[in-house]
Amino acid sequence: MPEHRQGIILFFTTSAALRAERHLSGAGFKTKLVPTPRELSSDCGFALRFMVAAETSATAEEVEKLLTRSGIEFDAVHFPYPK
Amino acid sequence: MSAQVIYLDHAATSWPKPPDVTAAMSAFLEKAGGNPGRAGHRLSIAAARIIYDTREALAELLGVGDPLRLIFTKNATEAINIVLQGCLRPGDRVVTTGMEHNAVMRPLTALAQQGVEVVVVPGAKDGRLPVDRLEAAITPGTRLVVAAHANNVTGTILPLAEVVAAVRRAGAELLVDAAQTAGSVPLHVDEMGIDYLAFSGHKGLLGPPGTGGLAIGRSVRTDALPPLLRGGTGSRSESLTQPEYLPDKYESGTPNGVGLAGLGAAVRYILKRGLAAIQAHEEELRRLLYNGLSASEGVTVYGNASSAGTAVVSFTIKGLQVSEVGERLDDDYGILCRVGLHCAPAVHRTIGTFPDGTIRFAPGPFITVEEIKRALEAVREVAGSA
Ligand SMILES: Cc1ncc(COP(=O)(O)O)c(C=O)c1O
Repeated sequence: MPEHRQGIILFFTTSAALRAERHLSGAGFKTKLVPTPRELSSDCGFALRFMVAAETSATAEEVEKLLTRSGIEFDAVHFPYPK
Repeated sequence: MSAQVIYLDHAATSWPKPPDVTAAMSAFLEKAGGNPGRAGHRLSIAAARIIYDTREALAELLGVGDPLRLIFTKNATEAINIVLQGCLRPGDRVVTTGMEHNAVMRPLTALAQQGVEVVVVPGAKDGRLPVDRLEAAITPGTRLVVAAHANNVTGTILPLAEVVAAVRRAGAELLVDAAQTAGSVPLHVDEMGIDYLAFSGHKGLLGPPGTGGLAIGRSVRTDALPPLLRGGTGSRSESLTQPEYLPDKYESGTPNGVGLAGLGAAVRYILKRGLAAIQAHEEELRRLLYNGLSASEGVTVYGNASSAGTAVVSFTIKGLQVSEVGERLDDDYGILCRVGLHCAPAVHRTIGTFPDGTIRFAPGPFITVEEIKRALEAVREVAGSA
């Protein structure tokens, strides 16, 4: 079993990715900006990877809600990713 | 030639810059040289992060809740053109004032030739704008109102709250030209209900040349506002059409990362020193200039000291051309100011100084009371020799 589960969030604009990075790391997530996986999007920019401890029961919906509540628009949350 | 200079041309562009600005700019080139948002590698991300930090700092200073509603441009002129050329169609009515810079008047003149109805509300000779006349001109069906928050000749500040209320009643939108006030006068785009705020990064915000922007109010629907330029944004690369989301819609092409890095450092300086402290300091310099110049023999001062204004004071000296005064102040005293029409012939017509223009003293936040006293003494000497 891995210690962490990973997800990835895609955004319409890199400015939103940076905004989300700040919010999610403020909310205690481990985050990293990474090149957008080609299989998910044709964008040349970057996406936000986040990591949660394997034993927590975080869901994609919770991450989405966290972003929406802060007024941050996103394209999609893929979690867990890679599957 | 005097070796020391007293720079009184802050209204054209600020100088010197806060100490951290140069360091931030060279750090951007040395450590973050990637193309922001175009790739996922560390140098691209580092560049994007620096630009985003500037966006956040500015959003805080200008009262913009969502930093993505801040669009970076190369100057205030470009921001003004995005709105004027994007919003106005033949048959639309736009209301402006007799206190505008050519950044507003030239695009509006061109739009008038294409059939846009341009209504200019005259200003008063003392630099004030009769707000009741502006309110009367903002009739229902008016598409847009565009006005300088402060003009760049007399520095007189427009009572924005009253203008916003009149614009709302008519169902129009408001573009504020804050080139002269951003960084010097408190602004809050969200709370004041401003639709569009155009600003220079290189004047009161103390950033480098080649920076400026447009803040878009939270109630504005941008689908009706096409961009001035279309091109690469790093986002939605599969698509041949311009993205609709902010800020990318209005930020095509590689941005001025070096300049924006410097602007970020400048804005953080302002936030740290405090806008209220900067404004109080500039107000003191403005008072000294008004009083000192008004008391000098042969000097005529324009505008008025009783209404709110920025640290911009215009004057003429009896018997001397403004160009002659400018040259002597520079050569003999190291006092650097701008003389003439200041790209604002409309304002000079309003205050009665067209076509000769005025001598303009515009001190910034690093000018001291002592330097203003030396400048006043120099004006007395030059006037005394006339
Ligand atoms: C009132 C006003 N509007 C617009 C501008 C244009 O600003 P920028 O040079 O940043 O385009 C200026 C300054 O020149 C100004 O004073």
